[in-house]
Amino acid sequence: MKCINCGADFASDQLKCPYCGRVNEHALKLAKELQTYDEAYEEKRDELLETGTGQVLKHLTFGMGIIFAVIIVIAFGCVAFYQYRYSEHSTYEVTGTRLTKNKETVGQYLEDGQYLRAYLLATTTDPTNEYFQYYPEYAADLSDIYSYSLILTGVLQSMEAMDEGNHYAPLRDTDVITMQIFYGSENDSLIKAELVREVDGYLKNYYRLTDDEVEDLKESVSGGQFTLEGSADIEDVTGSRMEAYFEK
Amino acid sequence: MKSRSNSKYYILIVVFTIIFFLCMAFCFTRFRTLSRDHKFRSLAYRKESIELDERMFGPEHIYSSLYFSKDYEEAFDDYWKFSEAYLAYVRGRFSEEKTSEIEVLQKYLDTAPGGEREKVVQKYLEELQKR
Repeated sequence: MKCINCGADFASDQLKCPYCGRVNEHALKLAKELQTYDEAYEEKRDELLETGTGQVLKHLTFGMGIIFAVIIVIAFGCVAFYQYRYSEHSTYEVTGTRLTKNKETVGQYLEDGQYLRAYLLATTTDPTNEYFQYYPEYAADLSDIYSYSLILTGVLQSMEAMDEGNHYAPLRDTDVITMQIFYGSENDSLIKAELVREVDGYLKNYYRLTDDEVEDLKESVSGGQFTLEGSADIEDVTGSRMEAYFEK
Repeated sequence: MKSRSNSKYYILIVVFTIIFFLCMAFCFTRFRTLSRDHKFRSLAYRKESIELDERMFGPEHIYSSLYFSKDYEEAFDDYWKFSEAYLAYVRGRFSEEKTSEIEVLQKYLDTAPGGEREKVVQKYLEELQKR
């Protein structure tokens, strides 16, 4: 274009004439318009960017929420199933046909003389533990077997100590209380009679009690004082008797 | 205003992530506890414990393993048979009339599968017959 002041030729997008310095009004107007467009574009772009990010975040949050919720539900479901299927209660708790079968098995064990096994099966499958509410027909026998098993465990420990050459483990006060509970039971079944004969045998032949003393123990009240040779120290009395007998 | 509306999503994402990891941690620990309990109650583990007791302390300890681990199942039949023979020996040691106990031991030996347990029962029988 030509400068209106000096008439020289110069490019139309130049803001001033390079020869005389006159301002190019046309180019200046275009530049201002361009600047206005740029500002408007930048503002619009920021707005669009903000809205777009919001949309993406919204979908992301929603998607994450759904995926996490599904995984959490599956995980809790697996744990709940595992707990139901394999926890102690559900494994052993019995009802319906399983309970009927267990009752038959307990009866069979008792008939075969497998008393401890019958007791273990009943206690493990009965949520009421030693009250045997699931096995009412055998409850009296099973209670006696429980007391008997405590006596037997004491005898076995004692015998082990004796076999290893340690001091004899004579009759203790706690053993007496267990025996009083055992003898005090009002069950009059054949199983009880058999177990009584056995416990009598331990008292007479192992702890060296006389027949009369065994009868006294049977008649004593549960938790009441039991004396031997006029002494309340039954551990000492039975200890010296056992020593005298087994070392003769 | 707009940047504030986006910040709620960031907060939600962080909250979701924390809740997710807390739930996963809970499930993991619970699952581990349950699987350990299950393992200790499993047949294989209990049999292994009895075998270990037998090897370390001798067949006499089978009775205590059965009784205290509550192993009444059919899978433990062989151990129970030995346990009955052992208890018959214990009864026989402290009873005046030993015939029925000797019969139990003899019956065990008639059907015994052999091995260490049979030798031990043979020893019990001889001891009772001598007394």
